[in-house]
Amino acid sequence: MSLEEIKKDPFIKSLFDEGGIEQPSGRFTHTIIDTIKAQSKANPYVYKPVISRNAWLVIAFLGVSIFVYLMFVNAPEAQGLDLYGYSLKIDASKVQGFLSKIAFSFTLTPILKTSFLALFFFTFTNLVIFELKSRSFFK
Amino acid sequence: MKYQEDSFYINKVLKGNLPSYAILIEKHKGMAYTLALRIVKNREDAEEIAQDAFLKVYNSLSSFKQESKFSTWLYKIIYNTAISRFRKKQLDQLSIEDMAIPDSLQEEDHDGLDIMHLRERKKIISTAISRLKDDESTVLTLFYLSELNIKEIEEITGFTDSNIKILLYRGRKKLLFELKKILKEEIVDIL
Repeated sequence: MSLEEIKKDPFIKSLFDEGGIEQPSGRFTHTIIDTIKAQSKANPYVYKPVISRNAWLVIAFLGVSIFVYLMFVNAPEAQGLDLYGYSLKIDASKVQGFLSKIAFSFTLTPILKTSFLALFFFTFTNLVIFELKSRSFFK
Repeated sequence: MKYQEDSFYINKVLKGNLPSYAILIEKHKGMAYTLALRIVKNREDAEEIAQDAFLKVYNSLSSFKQESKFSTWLYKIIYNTAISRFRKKQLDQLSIEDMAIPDSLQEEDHDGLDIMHLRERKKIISTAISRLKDDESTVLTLFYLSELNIKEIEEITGFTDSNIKILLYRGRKKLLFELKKILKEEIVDIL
């Protein structure tokens, strides 16, 4: 018997139609909805930041990359910065040029340079430590 | 109650409207429960499986891409839930009982059913269906009651095209055989 014949078999079709769709108990839907409600109470809304941790890492990496590019390129007009015994060559003109492009310009003083550097290192190292902790690299 | 398209309720549920999910359950619970019952052949278990399936569906509704029918997705979850819990037999094992099924059945068996009251007929038909193997009753139910096509049944059960056709053919024959047997038992009881 072909599939078409099986499909058209009126007797079998009528048996299934007559056997009908069975119905579960009257509380069926309520039980499911109650379970869903209980689930949502047991698992309250978990805060999800708009910018994910990974996105923050990428942003931090880009920030540091820009910072390194601007500050630590050995340009002829680079100024020396003595930082904890390390002599870093800072191209202040590049920073000024970059900042003047975005809105304003100012001259970097040594104190500002150090603060700027410290702030970047602090933020970046904290982000890296936080990320590594969350991935159980170390407890 | 006249229902809207499934996508209407699904979109509402995804926006956090739980009562819409209750409507979606009401719309599909009969077929979901019947399918589970055809596999496990026990009302309590079938109800539990259907409820579990509706919970699974709710929890993963956001991942449902609406490329296939909601009912197909739901039946697939019901089928897998039922099978993973209760299935012990291997597919395609042709038993001696299958071999004993006659190729053709007489018209008189149909007539026997015709003279019975509706409630009795329904009971006999349900009993006959429940005597089929779980894969046979599943495929027959999806084909004749849900009116799904072979491709959709393939998607739900994971059986091949030819496997489904064999199950349809074998299940149909066995159903008629079981009906004949039950009718004879009924007549003997009456006499």
